Amino acid sequence: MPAKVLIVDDAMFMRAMIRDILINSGRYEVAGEAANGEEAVAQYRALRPDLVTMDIVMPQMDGIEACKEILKLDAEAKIVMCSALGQEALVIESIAAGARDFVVKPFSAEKVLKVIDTVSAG
Amino acid sequence: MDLSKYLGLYLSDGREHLGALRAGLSAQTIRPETVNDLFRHAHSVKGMAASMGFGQTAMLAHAMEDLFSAWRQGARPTVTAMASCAQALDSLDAQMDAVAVSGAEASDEQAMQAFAAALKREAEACLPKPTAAAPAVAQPPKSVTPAKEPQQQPSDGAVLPLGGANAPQALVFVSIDPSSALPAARLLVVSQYLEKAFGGCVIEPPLGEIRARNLKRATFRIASTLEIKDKIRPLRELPEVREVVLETNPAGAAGLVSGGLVTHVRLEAKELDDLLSNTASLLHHLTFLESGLSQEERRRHRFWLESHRALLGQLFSQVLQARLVPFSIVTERLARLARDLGAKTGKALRFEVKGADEQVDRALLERLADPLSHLLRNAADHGVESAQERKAAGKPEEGLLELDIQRDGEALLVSVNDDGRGLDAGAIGKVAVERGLISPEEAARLPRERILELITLPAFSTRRNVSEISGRGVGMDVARNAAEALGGHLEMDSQAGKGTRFTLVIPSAATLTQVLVFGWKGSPRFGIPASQVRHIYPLCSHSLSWAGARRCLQDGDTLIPVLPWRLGPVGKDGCGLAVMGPSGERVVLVSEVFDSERVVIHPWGPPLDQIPHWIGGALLSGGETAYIVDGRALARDEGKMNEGEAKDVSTTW
Repeated sequence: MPAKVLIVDDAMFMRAMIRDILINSGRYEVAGEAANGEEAVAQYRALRPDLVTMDIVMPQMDGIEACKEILKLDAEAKIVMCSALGQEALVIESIAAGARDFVVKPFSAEKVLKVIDTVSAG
Repeated sequence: MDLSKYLGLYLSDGREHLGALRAGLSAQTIRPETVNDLFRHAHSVKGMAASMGFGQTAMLAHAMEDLFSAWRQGARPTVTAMASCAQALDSLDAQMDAVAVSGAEASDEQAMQAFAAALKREAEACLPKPTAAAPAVAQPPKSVTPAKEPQQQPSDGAVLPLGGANAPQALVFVSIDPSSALPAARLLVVSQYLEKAFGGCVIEPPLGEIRARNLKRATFRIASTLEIKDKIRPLRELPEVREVVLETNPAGAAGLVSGGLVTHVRLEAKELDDLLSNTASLLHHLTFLESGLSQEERRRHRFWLESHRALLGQLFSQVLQARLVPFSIVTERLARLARDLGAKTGKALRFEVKGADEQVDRALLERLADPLSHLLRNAADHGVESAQERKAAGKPEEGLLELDIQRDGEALLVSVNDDGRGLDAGAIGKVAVERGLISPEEAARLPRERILELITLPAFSTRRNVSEISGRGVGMDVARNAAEALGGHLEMDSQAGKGTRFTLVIPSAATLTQVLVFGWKGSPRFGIPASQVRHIYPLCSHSLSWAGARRCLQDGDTLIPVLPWRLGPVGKDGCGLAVMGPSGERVVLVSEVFDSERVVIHPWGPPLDQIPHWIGGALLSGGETAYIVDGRALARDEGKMNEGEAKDVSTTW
């Protein structure tokens, strides 16, 4: 059964891109999408996805906060951060907070899947 | 009370404490007595800063002190705590710098609060006893802090992060893909994995340093367990992980750490220079040795030759990396200065930085910070006009201050630009004549740039009224002297009403230059600074033709003259490299462009430096030497082969 992924990003464009990458791989299905941190936490609670891709900079609640909240709900949550170049400090903070891994935008399908496959298997 | 007279002492003591903190935290194992020292250093910084009225520094040092206090109670330092400490240290260092420049703290409250909060979280996490994930650490009873007996059995003191005193240790060397966008974050992921798998892990060098130096590898110290190999294996499958080497019985485990105390030493830049050039020589010697071997011998010793070369190559890049830091290390400080200047002058200023990724020599960078702050100050004070003046001139109200870092071949160009009122050469010339610095004839005859340069004369620039007329003044001589002390010079360019650009031109032999590597089959490698190459024309798609007596390369409707200079035959698989000369673009023909690499160019000493068109030699990442040609000099001389150059090329190489 394909693993269920929750996609969190405030840009619809990025969500669509990630969705396509995941679906085209045949290994994942999209459980849901969220456009900010608060939505992400609510969606996580409702959907209990196998994995979350999490943008860092978002309105309402940012990705790092959302990551921490989700980990409070489920310490085993598998969260992959999506970062832009130059956000190393934020990425480090989220990994220190418990995110499993990260991908850097602009990203290629190959790299995204490599990271998601690794986290999903781990 | 006048506190300013204590500033010098505050800075020298404070920096020493911060240095000790950094050294202590970067030790591969943190022992109880080290924790005690850490606590003390943080405590001292807090006290000094508080008495000087530097509240933010005191606040952050306090948060650090609390964390160390938790460690003193026997809590285990974690990787994330170490990362938070490194961030806090960087921030404290930046504040020291700010105090050194302006006598006051930079306003960075928000970031510092965040760092303090991170430290606080770490300290709080220490409060409940470490969970079951930790190997059975012999917890010292609370009443007896281990720190109180620093002398006890120093040879097998408890190694906090790694469990029992005699627990065997292992080292894991991990290198990651050079193309990794966020190498420090990637190494942190590796570290988290190891921490989970082995219940603890110490990363070396510390994360802050990995970030600052953009390192692509690290060593992880873990507790050695029976199933270590199985647990390490999945590491190789992690994204961007290139190499994983496990050393289960590190020879000088104790020797390396030398008691876990001092791991940082200060080195003169000169010593690193010598180390670098000796390493380069060793590599050259190896090449000579190899060339003397027969095929058979080479085959027989292949393993040792290759590993020898690889090790030397590694050593070389390690020495190199030890020296290099990205320019961005000081841009934050300068951005703060620009913000403060905006507040002080009441002008709306926008600060932009270009080229902050350029890697430069650490020592060089330290010496550039001061002249750059003078130039910024000048641009803000005198260059950028008042809001009304700008409005009247039809400019946006916000004045632009721009720091632009570029590499031009082997030189480093650091410019401070503004879009302000510019310099008035006429007025400067007139005043210079009045002051008797030049004669009226000279004023008429001298080129514009020379007239502008007059304002860097101390006699000229300290006169207040003059500085008003010129729009520039104090500090220019400081910037010029700094550039000259580094073997460079200060260039300036200005247009009345449009703005001014001051450029520190620093010839930097020991910094990295991007070169295109080219060559012929079986020949050694050659390089040309990438900054000199404006375009690469593959000859399979661009034809050569004759225009009169000149050979030209065709680019659409344009014919670009081809230089006669050539090191070997060039066929259809070759390339034309367009370089800019004084009379326009010229094309250099080469057989094949292999790669582009960042290298250190070693200028040639006599007598090789007599050969024109060559800059020097450089060591490529594969361990071969490349000979670096100066494209600009070639274009300037129209590529005339010098007497003997062609012969040298064919016989020597």
